[in-house]
Amino acid sequence: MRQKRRSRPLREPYQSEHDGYYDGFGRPREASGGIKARVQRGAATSNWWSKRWLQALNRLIDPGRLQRGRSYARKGQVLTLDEAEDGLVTASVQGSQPRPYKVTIRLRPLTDEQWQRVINALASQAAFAAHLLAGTMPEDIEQAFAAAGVSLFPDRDADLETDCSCPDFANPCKHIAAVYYLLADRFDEDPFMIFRLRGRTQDEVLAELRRLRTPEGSAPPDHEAETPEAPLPLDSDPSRFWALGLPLDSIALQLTPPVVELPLLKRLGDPPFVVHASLQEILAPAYRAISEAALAAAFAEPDIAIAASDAAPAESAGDREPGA
Amino acid sequence: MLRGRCAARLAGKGKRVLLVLHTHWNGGDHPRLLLWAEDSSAPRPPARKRSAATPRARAHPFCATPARLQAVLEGTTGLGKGKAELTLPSGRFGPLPSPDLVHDWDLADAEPPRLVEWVVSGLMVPPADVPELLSSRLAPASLPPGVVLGADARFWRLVSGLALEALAKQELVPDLTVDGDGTKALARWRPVLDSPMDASRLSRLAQAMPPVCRAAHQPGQEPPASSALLKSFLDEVVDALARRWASSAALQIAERQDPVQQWLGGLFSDDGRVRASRAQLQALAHSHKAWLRNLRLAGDASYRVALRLEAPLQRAAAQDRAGLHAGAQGDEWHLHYLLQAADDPSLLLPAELIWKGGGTVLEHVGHRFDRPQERLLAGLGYAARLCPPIAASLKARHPVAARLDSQGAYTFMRETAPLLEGAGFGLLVPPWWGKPGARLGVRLRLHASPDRVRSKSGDGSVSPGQLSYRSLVGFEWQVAVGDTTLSHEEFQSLVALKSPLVQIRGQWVQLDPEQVEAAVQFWQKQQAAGEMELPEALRLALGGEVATLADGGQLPIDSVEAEGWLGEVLRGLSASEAMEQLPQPAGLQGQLRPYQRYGFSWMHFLRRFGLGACLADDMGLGKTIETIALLLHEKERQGSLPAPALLVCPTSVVTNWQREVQRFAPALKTLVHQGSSRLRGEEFAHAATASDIVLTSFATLRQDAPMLLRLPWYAVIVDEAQNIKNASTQQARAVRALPAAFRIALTGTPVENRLSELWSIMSFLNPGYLGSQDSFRKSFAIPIERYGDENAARRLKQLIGPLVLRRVKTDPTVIQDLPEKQESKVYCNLTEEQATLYEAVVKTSLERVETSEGIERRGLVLSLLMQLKQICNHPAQYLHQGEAAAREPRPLASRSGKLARLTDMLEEVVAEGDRALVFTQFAEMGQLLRDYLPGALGCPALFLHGGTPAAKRDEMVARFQGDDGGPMVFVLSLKAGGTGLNLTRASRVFHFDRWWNPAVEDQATDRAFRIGQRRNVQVYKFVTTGTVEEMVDEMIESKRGLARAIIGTGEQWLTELSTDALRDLVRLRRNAVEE
Repeated sequence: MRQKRRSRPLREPYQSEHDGYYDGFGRPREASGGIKARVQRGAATSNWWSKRWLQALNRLIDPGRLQRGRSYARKGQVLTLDEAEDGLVTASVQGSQPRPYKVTIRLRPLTDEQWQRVINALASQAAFAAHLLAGTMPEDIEQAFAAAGVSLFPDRDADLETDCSCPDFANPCKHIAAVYYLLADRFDEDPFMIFRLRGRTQDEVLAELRRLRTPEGSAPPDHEAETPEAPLPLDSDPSRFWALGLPLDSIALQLTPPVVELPLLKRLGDPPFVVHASLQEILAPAYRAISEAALAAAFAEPDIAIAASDAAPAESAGDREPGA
Repeated sequence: MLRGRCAARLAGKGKRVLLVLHTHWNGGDHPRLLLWAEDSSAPRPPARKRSAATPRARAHPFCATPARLQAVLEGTTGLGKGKAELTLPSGRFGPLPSPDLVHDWDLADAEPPRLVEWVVSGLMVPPADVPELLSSRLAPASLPPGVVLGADARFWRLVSGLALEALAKQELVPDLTVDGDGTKALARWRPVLDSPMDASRLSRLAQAMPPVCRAAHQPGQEPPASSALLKSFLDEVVDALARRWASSAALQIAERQDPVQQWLGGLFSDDGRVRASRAQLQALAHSHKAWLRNLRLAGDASYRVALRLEAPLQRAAAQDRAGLHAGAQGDEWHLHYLLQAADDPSLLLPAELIWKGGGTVLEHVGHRFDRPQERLLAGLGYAARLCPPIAASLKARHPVAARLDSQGAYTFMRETAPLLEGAGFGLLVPPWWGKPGARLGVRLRLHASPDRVRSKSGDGSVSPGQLSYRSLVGFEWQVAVGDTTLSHEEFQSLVALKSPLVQIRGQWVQLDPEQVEAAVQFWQKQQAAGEMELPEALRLALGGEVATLADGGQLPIDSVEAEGWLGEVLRGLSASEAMEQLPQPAGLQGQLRPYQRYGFSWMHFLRRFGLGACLADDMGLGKTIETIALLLHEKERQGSLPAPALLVCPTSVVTNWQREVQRFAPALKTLVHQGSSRLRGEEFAHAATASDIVLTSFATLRQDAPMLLRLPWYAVIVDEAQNIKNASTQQARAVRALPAAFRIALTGTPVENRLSELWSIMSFLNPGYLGSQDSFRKSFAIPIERYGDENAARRLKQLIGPLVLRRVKTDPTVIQDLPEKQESKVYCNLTEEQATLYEAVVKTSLERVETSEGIERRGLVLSLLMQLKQICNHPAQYLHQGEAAAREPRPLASRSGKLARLTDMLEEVVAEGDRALVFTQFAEMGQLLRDYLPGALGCPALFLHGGTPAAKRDEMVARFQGDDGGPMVFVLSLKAGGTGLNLTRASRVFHFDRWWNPAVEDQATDRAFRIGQRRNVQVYKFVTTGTVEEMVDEMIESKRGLARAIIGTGEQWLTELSTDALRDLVRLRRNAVEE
């Protein structure tokens, strides 16, 4: 891993080797509003995918140095994280200096020929395309890459090009390491990000897979945007202006509890960005309370204040008894 | 008739309360619901010039003030005031009233209406309070009299019900919205209504939305789209309520800095703010959006991914002797992959075709599928997470199906399929899945023999074939699979197979473990046979769907078989042709029409099995005569009734019943039990036992309940059963407590539409049949009345169908039997006030008549008769109180028996949507009626008299004949227009007072009955009993043939009578005065 140095510090060289904090430059400043990594000690909810990324990094980089970034990442010292169109990752990280440091990371893209081999391997099983299209990374994706003689994750020094404006000479510095951890989170949510960083967008990969599946390859029509409904002008005829367009009794309601509890959370699955517990567990009491209250409200007796006050006189007037 | 009476009280004070409520939703930045109303008690809006440019919108001239709304609607005092600018169709007089508003204004305008802005003011309802207000408080049954909901209010009412449904079904996701520049974020609960059923409902709601809902917009801009408004309403109301109701389960935010925790906390806070930095929000929004992508994987508006499960082919060799074959290991079930078109679910594309065909666009049978392969793969990718066999199938290059064994197939159908279906996938399961023939169910066999019953009632007082409501019926449960009843051994071998999917004689059957368990318990506990009471047996036979066992397990009921007389009952109840029609009783004076014969045979049939009957025919079809025929039939058959029948009815109708019985069945002895001079104690018991029918009123029943409860009645008949519609009133309770061998309820209202009334009447007729009031409310009343649940409506109809008979005048079987013109007399009583006035006038006038002669005498006689007529009409008319009468504390209808009865009858007429003519010879009475009736009935009334100018008269006739929302009652003075008036829209004619000359009366009546009249017309002639009206009426009837010759066209003939004859004529018979 090469490290380009932007500026030379005016102080003596540091002597850090232990924990990232006490490297002679002092504690990092409190960062407010930074992005916190979800990486936990032995986190069960952390996706296998991001674990693989970190494993791959661990092979390339000194594990101790990687660790330094972890505490930064968990504390939220990374203030911004952006991905440019050409695959360059930039971030700003709050260090000990008042001004945050700028970090850039670039993965070396695969060559066209390498991608061709990968795509051929991906096309051999529907599972790959199916999972990618469904928004998850298939578990054996690396095997497909391996079959093409390529590694998806960086496995050589030459694969990673990084830079940081901090004065630390360490390799990687804790700022870059912190960004590595945050990238792990991003990969969780967006499996195709790793593809982009290695030179292909999702659309490009899918298009090539599609081409392999069926040779005719006309350009796919654009995903049709929902044409907004053209609102009808108001009708000035009073008999229609105030009236219903359809009889209401043709629309029925079903006020029942759900057949399966938490149906939507179950459909969606647990989100990766909620780490401290399962979202279903967290929100189940709320959903239940909402459902019960809704049913109670639906079946409540209407306020019978009006009816009751009429019932008494109506009863005695029931047979038109004057003065009864 | 609650509404009418309350309104009558208010109307008596000269107020007419007619408000049309509107609700306006402004889906903007601060969404709220504005409740406003049009008020017809406002003066007519003034005419305005049409100006080309209006600087700004004016206030709506007849919009009710917020204070008035708060006064009229209960529980709204806490709401704040608000305004909205609405574009409404307007004319010369300002905004045009909506069609629901009942008003008197003359707003004729030659020009067509234009859209103009107006400012309306009303009460603001925050989103969280909207459902409670709309669903509960503004439920039509809870509105005060004279207040109705406009179509827009009814619309939003339904939508708020949909919001409640989404909340009840937990169809919401925790959402995150970040505004444009990324600094402000909100946590919100968002409803997700994306099932095909929801899509269809939302589309229909958008179509149904009345244009007025979209009327708030800037001029020059387009009105908002209905779907956008709908979405805004649902989103806001659902979020507001979810937030409020979830607060009891609010989370503790452990780490304030964590944006995720902030987001979760925002779901429960008042404002929903998520406090985090821009970068954090961006990251969170990104993650959240990726998470929500999972909602769309199954498909979209044009097509979706579908899965079809196919059972393996039968393997003959593997079956055992019983024809049972469990799903064995080698069995292969296939789960095929398809694409299904959204607008035509029968259009299915199998995966094979998809792989062969185009990758980008596939055209098939006129349908276009975009990117079919990728959509299929995406759906399968999602489904693979839930179903391992699908994941395994994806190893192929072009997967077309997954393979499962029997256990896997069962697990798929039971557990995975509901989740996939909820996620939007199409599921095509084998046709036998879930059907009665393919699962365990139970059969109920009911058997009953008359022997048992006869032995119960040892004495011969109950003849064979007559049963009491408490008769016992033997039952036996059997376990069955479809048509096949399983013996114990067979069932045990099934259980031993331990497979959830089993083939029995070639048919696949599913054995849900819970049901197997329940069935096992069945055999163990031997609760399979026993006795139950008749009502429960009927309930199960007619409407039962599930058998709940003692330990709480449930098994679906596949069929109910009944033997013996019970089978006969069920057959007879369900197929009317099977019922025996009785011949007309010999002693009946008058010919029963075929449908009337059917009616009384039906009541008799039910009576045989101890079931109470509810006869709910339209007014005027002859419920009276059918009831009389029934009692007469019984008397003739048995020689005498074992005990008297008790008939309870409103006070004003008692005399009518007596007259009718006398007329139709003189052989039946009646005893009228009401008034201060009625019999008590022993005397009463004696007299009652000696009669066939005892007639009493609700009021008297309440007072004499202890005494009446002690007598054993043969039958209890309740006329105008809507008087016991409230089950907790004293009279309802008294009526239920009366001991009787059988019961009948008569009512003219469509009782199946008013469910609490139905429950109360049914708990009198067949106690316990519809369950407790609370369970009835939850199972039927609320789902049907408030939320339109069709399943519940259907079940209820099945349950009560056999016990309620209702025919309407427009029934084809009835209409041909009805003559074109039916005349009947309505006998009314005098009130105490009227009686006093009457006697006083009689006394003084007769004295003077005696001492006069010639022209003077004639004049006095005529004047006397005139005064008596007026008194019989209404004291206010006689006393010329006019307007002042309306201001008196006493309700107008309580001072005159005739007016009370007229109001009751007109209420029924109006409720049925019919129109009526009311004739009176007195203009003053006509005016009184015209002022009084709208408030009492809630609809406008017209009055035409001799002084009405011709143009106005034509306009009134046109309104009556043509206007759909127009006046239902037309009061006419007898002399009005000798020129032909065409009033064929009326189907009822009331003669409030009589011109004692038949020819003149008939001519008036015939104005309704003319060429062009397609309905049959019922004519009611009001006669006050005990007074000169009754005497003269009898005289005219008896002399009818000669009458035309003698009487001529005037009433002069009355003046020819001697003084003694006159005295006899006018003398008041006191026994008919109401107490």
